[in-house]
Amino acid sequence: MIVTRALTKRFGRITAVHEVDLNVREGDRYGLLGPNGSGKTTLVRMILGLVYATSGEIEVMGQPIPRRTNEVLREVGALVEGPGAYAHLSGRANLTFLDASGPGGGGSRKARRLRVEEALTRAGLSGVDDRPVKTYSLGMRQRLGLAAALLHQPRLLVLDEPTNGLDPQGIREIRDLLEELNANGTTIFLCSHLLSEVEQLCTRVGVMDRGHLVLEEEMSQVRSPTGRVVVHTPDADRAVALLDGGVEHRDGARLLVRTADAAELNARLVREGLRIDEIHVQRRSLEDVVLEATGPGSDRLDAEPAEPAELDGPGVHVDGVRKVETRPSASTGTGTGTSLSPGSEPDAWQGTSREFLE
Amino acid sequence: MIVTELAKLVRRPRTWVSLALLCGLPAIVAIFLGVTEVAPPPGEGPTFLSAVLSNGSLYPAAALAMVLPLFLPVSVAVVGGDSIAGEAGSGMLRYLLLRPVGRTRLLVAKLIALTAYVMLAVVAVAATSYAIGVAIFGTEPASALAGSELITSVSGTGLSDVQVALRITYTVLYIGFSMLGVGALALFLSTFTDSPLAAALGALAALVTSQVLVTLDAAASVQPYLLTRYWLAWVDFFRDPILWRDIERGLALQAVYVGVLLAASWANFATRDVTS
Amino acid sequence: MVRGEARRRWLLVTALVAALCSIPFAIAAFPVAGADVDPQRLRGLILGSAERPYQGLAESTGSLGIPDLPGLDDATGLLGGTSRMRVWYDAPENWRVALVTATGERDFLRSKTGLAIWDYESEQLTKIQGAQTVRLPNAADLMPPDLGRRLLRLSTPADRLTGLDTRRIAGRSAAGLRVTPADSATTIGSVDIWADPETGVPLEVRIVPRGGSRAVLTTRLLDVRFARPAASAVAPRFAPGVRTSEVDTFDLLARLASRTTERMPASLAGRPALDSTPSIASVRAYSGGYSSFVVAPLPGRYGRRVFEAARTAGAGSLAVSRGEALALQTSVLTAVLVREEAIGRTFLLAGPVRPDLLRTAANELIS
Repeated sequence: MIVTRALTKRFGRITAVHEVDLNVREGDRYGLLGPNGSGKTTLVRMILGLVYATSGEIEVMGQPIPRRTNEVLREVGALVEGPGAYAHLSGRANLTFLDASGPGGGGSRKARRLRVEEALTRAGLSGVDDRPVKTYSLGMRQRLGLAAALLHQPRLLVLDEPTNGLDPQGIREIRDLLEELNANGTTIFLCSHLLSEVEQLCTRVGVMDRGHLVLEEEMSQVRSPTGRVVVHTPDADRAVALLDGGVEHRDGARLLVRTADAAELNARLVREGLRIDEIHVQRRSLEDVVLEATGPGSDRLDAEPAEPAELDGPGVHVDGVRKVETRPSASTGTGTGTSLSPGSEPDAWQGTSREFLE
Repeated sequence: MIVTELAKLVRRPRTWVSLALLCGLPAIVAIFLGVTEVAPPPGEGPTFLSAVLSNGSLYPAAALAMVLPLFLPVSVAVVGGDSIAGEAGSGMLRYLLLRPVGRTRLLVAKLIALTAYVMLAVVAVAATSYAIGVAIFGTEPASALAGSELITSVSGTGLSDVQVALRITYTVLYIGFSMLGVGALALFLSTFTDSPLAAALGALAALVTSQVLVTLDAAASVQPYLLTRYWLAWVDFFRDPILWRDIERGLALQAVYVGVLLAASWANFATRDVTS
Repeated sequence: MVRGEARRRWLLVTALVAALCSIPFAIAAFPVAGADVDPQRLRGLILGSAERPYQGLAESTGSLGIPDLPGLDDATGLLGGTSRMRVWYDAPENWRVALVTATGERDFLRSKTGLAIWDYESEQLTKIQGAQTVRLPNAADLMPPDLGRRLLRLSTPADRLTGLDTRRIAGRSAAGLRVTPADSATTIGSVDIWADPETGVPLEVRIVPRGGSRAVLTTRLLDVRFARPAASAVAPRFAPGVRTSEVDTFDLLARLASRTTERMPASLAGRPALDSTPSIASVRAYSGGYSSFVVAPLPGRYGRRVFEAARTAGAGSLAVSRGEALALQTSVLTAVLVREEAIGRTFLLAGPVRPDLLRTAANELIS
């Protein structure tokens, strides 16, 4: 659906996007994650033909961008960096104007009105009155932006931070809506800095960091078992003795046991008469994977700044992917698990995701 | 797209506020003149103002002369500067382009909407000032003898009502067309910036420069190419016979300005990164 | 890829601008056709062109820079700036010249019965009875055909006639002619006239000062048509109710004449006086080819005002035997104000002549 090859964009001396090879397949719910300033928005704008690439190629639905932008965009719905609207008009008037501005805006007056109403209903704004948009809350504006993106039954939905300003119920609604659209064949390309949003919705994930695409993987791959089982037991000492070297890490009553088969481990411990509070297969969390693959966000300014992006060789990109792919062995040293990440950097990005989850 | 742009123009409160201001100045002047009956001597103050005391049907010409140097170009520059930069400012530019609306199409639609605004503005000024002029000053010249020729042209000959109406129509069209150069300049600048104010101010700066150079003898060599060089040529419609030379040049010059600036806007906007 | 596209588009726009900008230059560089005409023949053609009707628009640019003297602004403004005039010329005694300004117009209408002047700014039509041999210059005098013929008539066989390169004026090829006055008393270095070689109607006239290269007065037709103008254009019907007045003379000279009874001598500095209208006998012109000049007595208080204005304007003083004299000099035009303290008489002498000639005349006047 979306393929980019060695896509690079420079604004003056700053390289915003560096040799990105993105691949979004038809039917995907693709989540592009990355801290603020990592080049996500620029990438999205290039894909939509708003910003022109310095070098590299873009294909959307098999058509080259920007040469065939206008053909492609007829089947694309988009929400880029917040909604836009004429503040002195009502939401309905805004959609009507937008509908009438472009191609496919034809049809009778009635057909057009129906189309606008349907988009409003889908975005949860069906009851909106004729108040001007300037009186709308942030969430309402966001919904209006979504309604605009849905106006023409797009085959591809490109959404940049779609849940910005929505309350938890709203986020849930939007997620359900996107899942429903996806089930009906709409490919969804979603950009976010919120881990949970991507984690809950997407089937595929890409991670941007300082202009590079450092990871692109199936969500099922990301969340694969690590080959370890987490056991909480009041009889931790006995368990360590029993498993003899099988325990990789102990933290009070919590043990990390190297084994692929949790059921077998459970049976064995119970057989020995140990009491078990909790036992589960350890899985990689998206947060770990992403933090592993990226550096601090660009809005964080340390005294010793991280290596600037343009100094990174193209090898880093390859490196990053490899790092993730060989993850099971590499992770041994760092220690994983959502519940146990005292060493993780409390960076801005993570902070946001925490805030959000609360 | 063009219909949408026009509808947007009509539904903008600002359009009507600016038109009300444009029509307001001649109305205020007319009221003062009507109350005091003190007209400036001919040749001083706005053209034709001296003549309207005796006959209000010439007031549209005087009203246009009043708004021509400043009010009209300012409002046109504001609307023109808003055309692309304003869309960028409200965040709608990207959604229009994603809709998709071709960039060239968008420019042309904006220029057409701008033209419509200009014409609306000059017609509104002419119409309201005619109504006010007739209401306050009447249509009977004080010194006229019986006859159909009621108004004296600049050349001293009599003009019939039909001729006056026709020449005022020409004036309205000519002044409207003269404003297109300013509008196109503001439109051009508005493809460079996301701030409508910057674009409008840029156009006004160019306008003031041009108006200063037009009066400067030392700049005689560039004067035929200045944006405002032929603005005052509308007075030639009220000579007998009409002096077409400057009017023709004025029209051609404005057409060249509009053409070149539209081409430059297109060259810039069609290949520009939209990051607003 | 897009950058290349952008470059191409800007190139296209630049090319468009360049093409549009070069149009005026291309027109100016368009080669002129027609062989040069023999100067003597051209002189004859020009002098015989008075009956040719024409209509068009003329522009005159003067840099004579005469200080504004009270009551003389109309004439000095004409010679010291740029003016535009529309003209409809049917015959020597049937024409109309309209001096066009940004906010008004002043029309000079000549008919068999005399000259009429319509002034839009005062909304008045003034009819002048009788012909005048001495008057202040007005816009009609600056029409290239009229000025060209008038200047050529002043030339004497002693003056040198040379041909000038053919130029494009008002869209026509115009043959050129230069008169270099032999008279050493005049400040005129040369008079250049370009005329339509078929009709002989002058299209451009330039006056170049002696020793200078740039013209101090250029008057040129911007548009011209050699067709008989419509009667309604030459003699438009004025609106009923237009204020009309009739006078013997229109300008400052009329006012001067009515206030002085001075009689001018029949000759001054060896130059004979021209006939003058009986009503303004006190103002006289003294003819001597290009070194002609005019003398006007200025009535008491007005004379003092002009004298002081000239002094303030920085006029240099001139030594005369009995009295005080000031000379205002531009590259071509010289004006001398001479004042005889004892009787309180003031005279204005002006012409395209050297100051010493006017001094001689002034001395003769007050002696």
